[in-house]
Amino acid sequence: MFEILNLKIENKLINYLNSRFGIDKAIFNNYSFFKNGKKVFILSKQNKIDILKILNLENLETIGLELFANYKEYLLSSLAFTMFDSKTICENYIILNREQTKKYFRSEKILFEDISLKNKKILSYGNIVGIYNNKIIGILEYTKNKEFISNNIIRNLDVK
Amino acid sequence: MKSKVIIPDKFISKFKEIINPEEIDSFILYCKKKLTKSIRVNTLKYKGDITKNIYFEENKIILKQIKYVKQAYLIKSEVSSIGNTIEQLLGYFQIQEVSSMLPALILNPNENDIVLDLTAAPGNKTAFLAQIMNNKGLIIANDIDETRIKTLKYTLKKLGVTNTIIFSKDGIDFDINLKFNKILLDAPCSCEGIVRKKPRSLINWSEQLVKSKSDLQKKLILNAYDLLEKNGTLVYSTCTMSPEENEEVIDYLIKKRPNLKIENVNIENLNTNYGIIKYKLKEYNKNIKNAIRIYPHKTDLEGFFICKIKRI
Repeated sequence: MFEILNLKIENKLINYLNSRFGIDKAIFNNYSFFKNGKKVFILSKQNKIDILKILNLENLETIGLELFANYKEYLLSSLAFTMFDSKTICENYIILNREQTKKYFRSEKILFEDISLKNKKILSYGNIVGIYNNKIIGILEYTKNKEFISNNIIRNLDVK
Repeated sequence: MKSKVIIPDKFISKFKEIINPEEIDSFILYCKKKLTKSIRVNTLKYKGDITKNIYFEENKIILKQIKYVKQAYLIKSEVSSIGNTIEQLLGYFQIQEVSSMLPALILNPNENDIVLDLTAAPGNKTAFLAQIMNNKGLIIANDIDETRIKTLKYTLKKLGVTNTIIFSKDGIDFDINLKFNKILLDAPCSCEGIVRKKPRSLINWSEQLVKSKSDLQKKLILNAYDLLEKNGTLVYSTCTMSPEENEEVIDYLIKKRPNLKIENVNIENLNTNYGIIKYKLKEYNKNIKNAIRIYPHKTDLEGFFICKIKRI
């Protein structure tokens, strides 16, 4: 069941995104936050309709864009904030070239050593943002003791 | 392997009564002609000039911008794998037929509108509505088909749409205690217009199919109209050309809800036909002339019908 996200949790998540990626908190002023189980969704703010009135209706499939797949563990959705400009991300990102981006979509391993120093700014393990050609392509997981990253959510073997 | 376009004789016989006799050969010829692929640039994710994008430049793919849909481009080169490019997967553009972009343009929602897309899957039109609204306002996107809902969700996610709520209800009695100022009803239809893209799409075509779709469309349009606010706008569209699924549906609505206005639809630089007001022994409301028919042989697009209705 969808419900409005508690303001305290909303602020906690925004603070996390700010501290993890340097995303300006003000960006999120344009969105309302909702949750369904452990998932968190953002919806563009509007002031004509009280969304609360439709949250409990049957056959409500989804709201806006999924931001967190599991907000309790700060697990971001694979396509979280791909509509934002890459300049909103200040840290914990990697910049991929075209071949590496293809690997990303094929769910192939991308070795860290293959990404030049100037193309990665990673401060700690966890969620990192993948950037290609100045655009955010999605979220990847950087795990301790792993020498590679991979996307295990989207898979398209035929990517050109 | 290329599929041969199959056009049943009974389909040709029917359209001899609809299309101008001097044009019927050209109509059939174009129904068999392969459709030029087209893309819509998703400005929610891609702000630059798509023709300068590395994929199109490196592969020397020629794109031609369409005059009447500034976000749309025809792909003038032979390409087989554009659906698997990084750019497509990142949602920079969507492969979409030009005709199917027009209903959203004609509805023309603004950033404050509350819009209903009553039969929304697979979501290309919903995403275009969101693009026109700059991801602001609110879209309620609905579809009854569970499989198609999955595609709808994926399409909107990939294209970065954040102003949409999805429901999976039957459009015939869809009601969430809201009235809308803009509604798009791109109704399920017999798909006569898509034969250029899907050569075998007319194999199961029959007058019974047209009739069954028409019956469904009448129920859908009545509910869609009743969900409109006063002065609200409903755009009704189909990718089919039989009058029973188009003008007859609008005529039915006018008889049931006479207090409405059929607004003129005009797309500059596109050679459209007026809505039909006489077909066989039937005479439809004369204002239906304000609707448009898009014929393959006049436009080099898919066949389509679009009507703009205002609640007064």
